[in-house]
Amino acid sequence: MNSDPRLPYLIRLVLRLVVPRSEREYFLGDLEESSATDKRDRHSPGRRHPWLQEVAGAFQLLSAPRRKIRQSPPQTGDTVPQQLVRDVRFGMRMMARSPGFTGVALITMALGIGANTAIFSLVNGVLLKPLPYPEADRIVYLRENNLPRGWTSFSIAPLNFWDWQEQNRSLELIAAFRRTTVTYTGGDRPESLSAHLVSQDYLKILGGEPVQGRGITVEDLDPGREGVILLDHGFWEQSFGGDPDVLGRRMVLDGVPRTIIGVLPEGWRPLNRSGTDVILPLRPAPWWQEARGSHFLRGIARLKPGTTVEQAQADLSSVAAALEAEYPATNAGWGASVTPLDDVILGQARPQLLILLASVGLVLLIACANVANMTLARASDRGREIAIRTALGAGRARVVRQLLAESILLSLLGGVLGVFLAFVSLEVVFARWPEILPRMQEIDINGTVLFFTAGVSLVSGLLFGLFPALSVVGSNLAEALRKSTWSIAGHSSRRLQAGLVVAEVSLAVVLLVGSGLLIRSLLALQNENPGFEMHNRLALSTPLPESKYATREEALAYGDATLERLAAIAGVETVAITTMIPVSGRDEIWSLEVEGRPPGGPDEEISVLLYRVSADYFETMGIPVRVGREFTPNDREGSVRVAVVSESFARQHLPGEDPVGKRIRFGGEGNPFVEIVGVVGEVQHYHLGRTSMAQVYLPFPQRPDHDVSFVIKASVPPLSLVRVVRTAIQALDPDQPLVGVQTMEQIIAFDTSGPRFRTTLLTSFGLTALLLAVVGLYGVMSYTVAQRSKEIGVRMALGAQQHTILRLILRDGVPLVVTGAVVGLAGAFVLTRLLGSMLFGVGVRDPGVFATVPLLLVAVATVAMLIPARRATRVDPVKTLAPE
Amino acid sequence: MEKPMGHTGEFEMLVMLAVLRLGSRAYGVTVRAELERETSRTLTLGTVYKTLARLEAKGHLRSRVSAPTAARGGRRKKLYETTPSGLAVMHRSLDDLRRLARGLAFEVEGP
Repeated sequence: MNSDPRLPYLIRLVLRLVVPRSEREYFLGDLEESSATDKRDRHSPGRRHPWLQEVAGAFQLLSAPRRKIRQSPPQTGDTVPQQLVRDVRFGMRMMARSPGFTGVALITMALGIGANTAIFSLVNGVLLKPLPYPEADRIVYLRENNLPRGWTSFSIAPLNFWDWQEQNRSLELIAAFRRTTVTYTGGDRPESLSAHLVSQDYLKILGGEPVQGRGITVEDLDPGREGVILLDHGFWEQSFGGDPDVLGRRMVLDGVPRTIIGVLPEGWRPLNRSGTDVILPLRPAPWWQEARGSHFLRGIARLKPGTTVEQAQADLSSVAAALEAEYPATNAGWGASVTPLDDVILGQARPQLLILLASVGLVLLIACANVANMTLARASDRGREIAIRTALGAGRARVVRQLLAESILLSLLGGVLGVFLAFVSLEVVFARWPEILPRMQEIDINGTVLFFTAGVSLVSGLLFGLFPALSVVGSNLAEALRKSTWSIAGHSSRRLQAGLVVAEVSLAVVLLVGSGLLIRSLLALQNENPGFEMHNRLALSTPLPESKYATREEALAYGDATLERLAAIAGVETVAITTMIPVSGRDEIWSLEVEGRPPGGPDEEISVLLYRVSADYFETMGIPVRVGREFTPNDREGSVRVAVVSESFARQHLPGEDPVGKRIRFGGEGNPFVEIVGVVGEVQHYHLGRTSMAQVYLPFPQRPDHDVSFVIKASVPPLSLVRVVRTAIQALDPDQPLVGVQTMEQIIAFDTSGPRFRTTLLTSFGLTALLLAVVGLYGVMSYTVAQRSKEIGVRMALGAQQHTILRLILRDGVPLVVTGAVVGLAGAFVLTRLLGSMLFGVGVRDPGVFATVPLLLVAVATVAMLIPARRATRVDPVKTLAPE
Repeated sequence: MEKPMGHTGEFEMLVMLAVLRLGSRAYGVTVRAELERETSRTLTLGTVYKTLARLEAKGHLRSRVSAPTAARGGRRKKLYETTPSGLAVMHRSLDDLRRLARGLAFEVEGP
């Protein structure tokens, strides 16, 4: 506004304060115009001090209506967006004015929203996005099962698969596949590649049309024809630099040259988490023609249009039932199972992620409650501002809108920070647990996730802004204007604050109980004895290609020679061969019969995990020998055939008898019996904490095999041996790659990574919740103390002791904590059932956890209450009682 | 006819009549001058402004902004005019006055 020398400065200043901006220009103009006229021709007595009168009169404008009463645009010329801009600007000024409040509120919201964004991006990538295959809802996974024996999912026998292929009526396409590793020679050094062996329709079902060359045809499955290879896009780029002329070139895999016929599309992956390097045709071996009892294929299929999974299941079940009737010897008890693809791929990930999502939802609720509490406390400090605004004609709706604009602004800024936080934490998850979830490569913070975050931020802003706003305008403003403290916190907003703290505490208790259960479960898992020693053990595999080691004798010779070289390495205490490494995922299940007790039917067959190991295996792995002896170098071809069994085998199948001396036979009629010479401790074969089948061990020299793995007991850190071990093995066979080189500790760590992931996440949510709840409690207690400082001053002046004051203050806080804890425990009592399937060695209502969490809470809460309470006892009565 | 909100007071009636008389020249200074001349009272601009604002809020008056003039230190004027609802209210109030005053006119003593 122009400065005007003719209006005295003081008058202009006062007028500027009292005349609303919308009228100011006209008012000052009119004033000037009329004062000029007055000077010219009017000197009436009433005008002797025109300025003073005019200024006094102008005060009436303070209560002048500022908006049309019946029409909605409140101020002339102001549109709704303009008002919004003004609200936001004002909100920013308010935030900048109290950096402490703003900072804490922003961090709180960023934590809450960031955690939700991160978990939602996992949920979105893993559960919500459609599977990256065309019409994925029509793709099913095929398996066999043997329910009488309790095997719900099993691989498929080739002959059964072929019968399903021919006899089904519900499947449009059906394909079998196997995963394996092959040795690629011809590069810098022998390399082990992951391979998918697939039948002709596999790529069609999964939409893997090669971008170059052709796919796999029926002819390619003919063992008599030349071998062919399809390259994964990533492998093609890595190993061939994306060379477009790669088609027709040859690669030597497992010693056999094959022709490259195609390259798969970028981003396409077969059905496994870690992808594959090459795809090869699944060529039946001659012996498959007799193999109705050997199960090792996996199957997928595409349903005919309009066919449901249930119809396909019924169809294949009837096929399987017919096969069962036709081949009772091999097929008794065996059925077919049809599962939607996403159930197989997602498996346990679905409930886990949903529980995590629910947990971060709770954290966000706590965060909202916390910020609501802080806003409430601050809003009552802003009583004066709000009272004046109301007095000046701002309607309640206007004030509510202003307060809401501020809280939404806050939550949106928190959302921006939260996205950043989510981004960082996802990076940590990816770095630490690269394969913890299926479809990890499809997880990102994309438009959907950002949309979710924006929505969550908006709703949070409304949630934590609405209560304080309503409680402020609902309070008695006139009284606020009269009171000297300018505080307008009434009883209702105090109750609201208390309620919010109780809610926060109870939600935190629920989360803490959940994380407590997972922590106990993880500890139990880590204390679980796997049945072997983990420390200083190294494991590695050298799968021998049959093209090079055609006979078992050759495999045995390789094994013996390698053992000798490895044993000579300094730092290697003992070394042994085994066909399987526990907990690493591979299994081999055989049926056997005990001499003199032929099975009455297929149901009575005994199935065991069959290990073939060299002498020193038990010593190397630290598996205790309970009865009898372990294998010696003398248990070779030509000597008496022997076996060692696990304790559970002896207990289940030879109860009350001395197992040593008993004889067992694998493969039925016509195969030799072997004599049990010892009983060893039980080993957890599949996963830590999961009961596995009984184990039987045969001496590797008496039953050699191509799946050769080595375990080493080292006297030095095991990984320091890797280079020498590789040199030693490749000195014998330069084309032999080393696969899966890991310490046993790493193998176990990988096995427990799922529980550790869940526990880490849920515990960090639980602790965040605790922190937020305690901050909320602290805030309320500080506020109470500040409000009662006068009363405390009076009491102290009248001689109250410190502990009396402490008790007085604690009496305000303790009921909140106790109520919150009780409500929370009740909630946890109901909700922890959801965790049941994820727990090991601890019940969902573990009394230890249910007792510890409230103790922890009370301890932390006491500190949060004592700090403000002690501040109260240091109140100087003189100060608080002095007039303001 | 829709019912206008609120009660229209005597001073409001005077201000509206002044605006009506002034036609297109009605703004703070002229309205005050008209009222002071015809009613022999002394008014502050604040009183006039407050009433004009209230009448505008009730929808009896509407305003527009004029070009700035040098005599006012380069400031603009806010010019008022009567709205149809304002006219209607005035008519009704004047009718009421006339009806009520009928027959009383000779008994009322002037000042």
